[in-house]
Amino acid sequence: MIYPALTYPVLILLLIVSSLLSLSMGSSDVVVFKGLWEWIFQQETLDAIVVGDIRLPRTLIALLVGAALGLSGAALQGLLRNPLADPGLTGASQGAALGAAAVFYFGVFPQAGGAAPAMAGLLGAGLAMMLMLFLAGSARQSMVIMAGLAISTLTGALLAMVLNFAPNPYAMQELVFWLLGSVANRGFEHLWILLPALIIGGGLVFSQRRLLFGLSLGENVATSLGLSTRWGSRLVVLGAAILVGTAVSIAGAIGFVGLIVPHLVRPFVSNRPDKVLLPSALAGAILVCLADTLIRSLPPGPELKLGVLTSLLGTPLFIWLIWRERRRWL
Amino acid sequence: MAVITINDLSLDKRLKSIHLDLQEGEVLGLIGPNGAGKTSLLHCLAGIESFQGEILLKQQPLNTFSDTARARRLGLLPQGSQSAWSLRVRDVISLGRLPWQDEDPAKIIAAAELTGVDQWMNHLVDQLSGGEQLRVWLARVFAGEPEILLADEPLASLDLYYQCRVLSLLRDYVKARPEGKASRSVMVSLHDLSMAARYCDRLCLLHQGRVWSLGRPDEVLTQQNLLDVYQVNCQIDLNAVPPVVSVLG
Repeated sequence: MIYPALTYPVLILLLIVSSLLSLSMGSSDVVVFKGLWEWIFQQETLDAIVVGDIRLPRTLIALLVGAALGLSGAALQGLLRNPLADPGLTGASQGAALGAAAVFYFGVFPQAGGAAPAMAGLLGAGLAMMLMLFLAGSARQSMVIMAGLAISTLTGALLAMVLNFAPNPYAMQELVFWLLGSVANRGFEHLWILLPALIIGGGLVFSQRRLLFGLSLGENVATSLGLSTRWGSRLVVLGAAILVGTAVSIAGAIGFVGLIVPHLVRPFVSNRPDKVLLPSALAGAILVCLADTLIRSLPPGPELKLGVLTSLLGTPLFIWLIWRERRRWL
Repeated sequence: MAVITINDLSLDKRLKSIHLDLQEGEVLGLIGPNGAGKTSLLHCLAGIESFQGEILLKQQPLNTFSDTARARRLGLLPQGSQSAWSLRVRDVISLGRLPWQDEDPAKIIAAAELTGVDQWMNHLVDQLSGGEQLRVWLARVFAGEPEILLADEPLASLDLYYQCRVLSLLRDYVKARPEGKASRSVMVSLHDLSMAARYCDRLCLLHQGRVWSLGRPDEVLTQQNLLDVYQVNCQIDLNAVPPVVSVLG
């Protein structure tokens, strides 16, 4: 039995628990609340530095990246009425990767320092997304999928070419590791890119939640209900692309979160595409934060990358979903 | 009084210079062969197609209404509805409240009771049978309480019992006008001419995008009209209860 009224309290509780877990997990033994308290009052103690300057940005970025991926997945699946739609479909993730590759190879945006890959990734995601929207013309289901596929393939090919002509093996290694996805060694400067993107992208998606609900019965019904399918769909694609583009440009490719999270949430909101949005953002945040905490609890050595772990964990879930779907049709 | 007046409506090659009116409290049947323009006409009224010509809603041009204002007054039941997600019956019906931006539980329950689906409110719509689903789709349109209900071939793939049931429901909707509220009218496209004769106040026979004949069932359903439009000979007895229109070949 599923109690929909408990969805939000449970998700918020899990969010708090996973954040605290993430703050307390690490190689040095510190007291979380004491460290936070001292960090807020700008005391230079070990606890304050470890918790406030190292673990807090990492935790917050994991939460925001997860929220962005979960929300964009839920929005795109609702818009395209396709439970297999992945945020990568907009071409934004590949575009972000290409932008970041340009930083590693050609050293663009040197003045941005550590945030340079993120800035270039954002630019790449934006360009790829504009190309996609231009190519798709309308926001019709099949056109968005085809245009997204075309642009992802193009940017993927360009990325492969960049790898092909890599000037030195270290740059290539750096790029490949970056692409595997991670929220390690991120600071508050990344947070200031991520937070506005989450607010703007999330705002765009939420403003169209009634359209997503209306589209359940098809475009004609949505139009007859007075909803603007033309503009509304573009706003959803734009919002989703901002969310996923920023998330990828900051944390690399973190697979399967955007695809899986809406599926996990849907039974708790009676499959409603408008009500799945916010819980998907919360569940995405919890999932990425827990995955990152799990990575830090593994024995020391070469760090397992976040994107690798989410894909490893996501695939069995995905197979289970296919299995469940197949049983329904047999 | 006419709630809808259509003057010289054209839509590329599908509709040619249509003149038509829909009166307060009437059920108007759109009949005609496949491709005659029944769906296109309903889509023009529902704001899905942009057209040339003029549609007046109570003497005011339809394109001067905002999308929301139009959607509050005209509701469309499209042909062959289905839901992309496995929604509960309650949520499907609440979709009809989208133009009003509320999910008024009283209106949702009332619409469900009108079509008799209130016992399945928490069932998933895709687990109901075809006839039961159609009553849910119909309740969805009822929930918006439109003055003008447009129904596109609602009888397709229904058995005989549900065919009669759905048309009675449309008639009930017209009669169930609340005190002090605007009148209600229905425009419904149909293939079954006997049903059209039985349940509609007036019929509009469309042929190749034009209005071939408009009037009471006995004026429209003549052997000559049906021979011209459908190219079949028919035996017609509109005085029988229920009326009979049978194809002789």
